Amino acid sequence: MELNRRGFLKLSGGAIGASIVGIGLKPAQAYAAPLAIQYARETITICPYCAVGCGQIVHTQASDVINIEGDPDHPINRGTLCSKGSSIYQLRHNKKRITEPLYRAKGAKEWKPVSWDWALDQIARKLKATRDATFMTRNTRGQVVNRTDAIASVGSAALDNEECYLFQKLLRSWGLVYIEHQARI
Amino acid sequence: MSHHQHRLQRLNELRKIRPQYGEIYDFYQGLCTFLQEMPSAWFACTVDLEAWQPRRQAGFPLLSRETLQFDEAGVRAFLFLLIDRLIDLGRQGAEELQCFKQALENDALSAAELLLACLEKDRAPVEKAATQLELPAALLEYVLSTTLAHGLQQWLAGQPEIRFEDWSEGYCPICGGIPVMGELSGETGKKRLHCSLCATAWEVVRMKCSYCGNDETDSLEYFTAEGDVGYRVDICRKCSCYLKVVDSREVGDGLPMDVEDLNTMHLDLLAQREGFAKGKREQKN
Repeated sequence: MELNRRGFLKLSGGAIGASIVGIGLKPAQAYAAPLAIQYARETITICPYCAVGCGQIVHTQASDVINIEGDPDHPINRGTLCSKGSSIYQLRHNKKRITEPLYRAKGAKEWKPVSWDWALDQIARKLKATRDATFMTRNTRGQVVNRTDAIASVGSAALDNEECYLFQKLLRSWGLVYIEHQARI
Repeated sequence: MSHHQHRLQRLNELRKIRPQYGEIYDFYQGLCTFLQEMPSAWFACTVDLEAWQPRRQAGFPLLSRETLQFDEAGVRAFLFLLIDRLIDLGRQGAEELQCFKQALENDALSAAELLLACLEKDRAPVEKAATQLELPAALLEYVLSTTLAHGLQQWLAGQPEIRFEDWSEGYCPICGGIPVMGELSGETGKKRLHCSLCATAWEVVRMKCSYCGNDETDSLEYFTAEGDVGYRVDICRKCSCYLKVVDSREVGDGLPMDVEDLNTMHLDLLAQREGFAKGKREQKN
């Protein structure tokens, strides 16, 4: 008999039976010997797309994402995902994904890549110019309002609670009152 | 289709997929064919599902020593036939199996007591009997667990559905057995564990070690072997245990997990090569 106590603890069911009657594990040992294995990890997260907040499991190998699926234990979606959430793997792995800011000048047909510094600077300039031109310290009744009606913000449901808090503070400091968020739609 | 027929059908499918395991499949096919024809009138359980409810919530399985009844003569007759079948199917171990049979014939052992010890995962009586008969404990344990599993599965097949939705332990809600395999089931990949004894399946949280209860994702991983699509081995770096898992979305629904366990023996060997052990979480008794 080729099975000892140590061997018994390694296997279960039919494999033990086969070992006891001498059929042995040599085929399994021969099959296993050259096999390479790959480790992966599952991490739970929340879908960043909409306000529903579905649970997802991200499978990673080293630092690379290899699969994303719905979390079957999440109370909101119970493992299901919408078509957009199901394709979230492409948020990282997609040749068409935009990875740098693009600018289309007034009247131009083509988008052209620009640097982050240039893009942020442009946004800041236009914001400041619009705000300065339209800023209202008092309304028609003479009440202090310190606001601008010329700029609106449509926030993203991809923002989490803390990001929304900071974003709200920023917008209010500029004097915005038209502040919308997808979670409220 | 009975669960034995289901096993035989899957074994035939696997012969084409993994022909190198042919001899092992032959053995298991022979055993399943034998069990398919064997009644289990020697096994009975008396259960009170209402009384179990508070016990279940506290993590106690349905069956315990007190709920099982064995007809000693019936068990013995079954064991004689099983031992004969194992001798027929095998190449070695006949002498040891005959010795076990002889001990039963001579009333040197109480089969019912040993089966109860098997249910309770109490190895001491089995090891004591093995020492007394100068037999390998593994042999005794295998024959006894095969007998107990047959009795439990036949009994469960004749019962109305037993509900246990709130069960989340790493051991079987019915008999307290450890899982033979895990399964990512249904369209959403809900994790289910399959009992190694009574073949009951129950749902558990996916991101949690079934053995030590660890749910820190930093120490939970899995590995896959090349060419084994749909199979993986979940490991816990806290307790160094592993559980083989079949993804039924890839491999197919309703597979007999004891056969899948046999079909993935190489994953056991790979897991042990990596330093992991089969989990043996203790149940409440």
